Amino acid sequence: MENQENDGVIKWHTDFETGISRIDFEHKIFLELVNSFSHAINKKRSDSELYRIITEIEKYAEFHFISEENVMRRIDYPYFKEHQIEHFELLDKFNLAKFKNCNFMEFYNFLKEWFILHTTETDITLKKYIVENNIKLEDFYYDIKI
Amino acid sequence: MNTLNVIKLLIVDDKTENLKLISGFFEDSNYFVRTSSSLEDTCNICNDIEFDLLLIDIRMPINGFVFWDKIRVSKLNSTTPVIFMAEKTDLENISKAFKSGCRDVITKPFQLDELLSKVSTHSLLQIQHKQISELMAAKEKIFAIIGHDLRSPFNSLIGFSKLLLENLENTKDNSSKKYAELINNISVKNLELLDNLLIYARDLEKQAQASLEKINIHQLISEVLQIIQPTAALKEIQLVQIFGESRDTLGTKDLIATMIRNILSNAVKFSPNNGFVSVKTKVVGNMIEIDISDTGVGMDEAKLQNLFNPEHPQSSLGTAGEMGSGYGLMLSKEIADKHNGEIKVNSELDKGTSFKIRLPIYEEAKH
Repeated sequence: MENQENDGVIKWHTDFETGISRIDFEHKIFLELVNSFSHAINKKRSDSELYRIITEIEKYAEFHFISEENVMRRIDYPYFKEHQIEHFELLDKFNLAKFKNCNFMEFYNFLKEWFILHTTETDITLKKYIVENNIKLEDFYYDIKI
Repeated sequence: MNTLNVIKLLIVDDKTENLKLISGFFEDSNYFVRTSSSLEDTCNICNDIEFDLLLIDIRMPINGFVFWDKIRVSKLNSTTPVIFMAEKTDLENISKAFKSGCRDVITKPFQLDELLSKVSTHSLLQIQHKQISELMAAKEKIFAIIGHDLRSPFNSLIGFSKLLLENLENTKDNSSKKYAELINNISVKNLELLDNLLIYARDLEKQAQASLEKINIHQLISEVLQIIQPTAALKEIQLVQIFGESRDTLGTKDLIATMIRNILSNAVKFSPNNGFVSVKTKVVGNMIEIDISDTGVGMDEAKLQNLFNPEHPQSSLGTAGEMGSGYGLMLSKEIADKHNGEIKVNSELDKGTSFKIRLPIYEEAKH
């Protein structure tokens, strides 16, 4: 990575951590994707390239939401439905933003907010439930070790 | 009929932002777009306007399936196709939507080309479907008119001209007699033509509803020969059958029987008294060939050229003055084509005609 601080790049923060290593791992990749989008904007890459990165982010978001939902199903998370609806709403918002913003910087800001709000608010609730109920995730779910 | 060919589209979503976004895609003049975000509104609009396509979001406070249930009982939109919208990861609703019998599902985030293409394809299909239904209704009306209103005056014409002929029996006015005879003959011929047209139309309809079954060709030919036998006997025509290997074909029994009967009855019709008509079968490659030959009047080149041409139905009187409509061979050709078969004809003037029907052999898969 190049000079991140001056690039308006989001750095991984402990606030983002859910403690579920698989989910944190995926969030980090997601964050990298959003950062590479901002990077490409700063490098004044062509519109078509920027649109391709948006597609990459879109596909990764779909994958990641299903990953998270699988974790929640495994542990019988009582707020699964609410959390899943939150995912649907996020995709709905993504859809609106994708077609509404001709301005890529605006779309980047949307993604930033979209990511931070979802991880710090919704996903942290999941973390709380796991900690409070002393659920050993390893019993349910494998860790990725790369 | 949708005379202006404007596509009428209803978009239903509880979020006004989504409605604005989607209707924006269809702003061009080809579309007439209405939007709705509530069940009540949707029902009212659907009682007012007949749409070509409904685009309904599934995840709403009252879900999209309930909307469709209500729309389906509306008078104007009971058969309007529906495309549901769902988030890409909402697999449960996507699968429910497909099972509900909707036309298609569009997932969010949209791929714009996919959305535009699905909407235009399905709405155009619906418009064409409506046009076909209207044309079919018009056709049925015309046939009803032919079948009744146009048909019954001929019976009067035939009856009265006959009466006229009887009244003129003892007169010396030969030209009046000749004209009365002409009126009578033409009326009889035209009535026959009308009836044949109606039979042709009915057979076409039968063709449209046809279902496939395994048919033994030899058995079917024997059945048809039994029907033809009395007519042949009247002219003392000898019917000869020479069967080769027995084979089955896959098709619609009624239709194939109609085809064989048409050609066989032509052979009898165009054979002189004491003539000779043969039906031979043989296997040629993966086809079974039915050869129907007669020792009749034959046809010249010009007649052969137009034999199967629907624009020039060929009608000739038989050797005993039998009538025809010219539609029999046309229909037979259509039947052969529909069964992936073929009809070929050889003819020589004053020597006779030979029709060769070929149909694909059907063999059941061996297990």
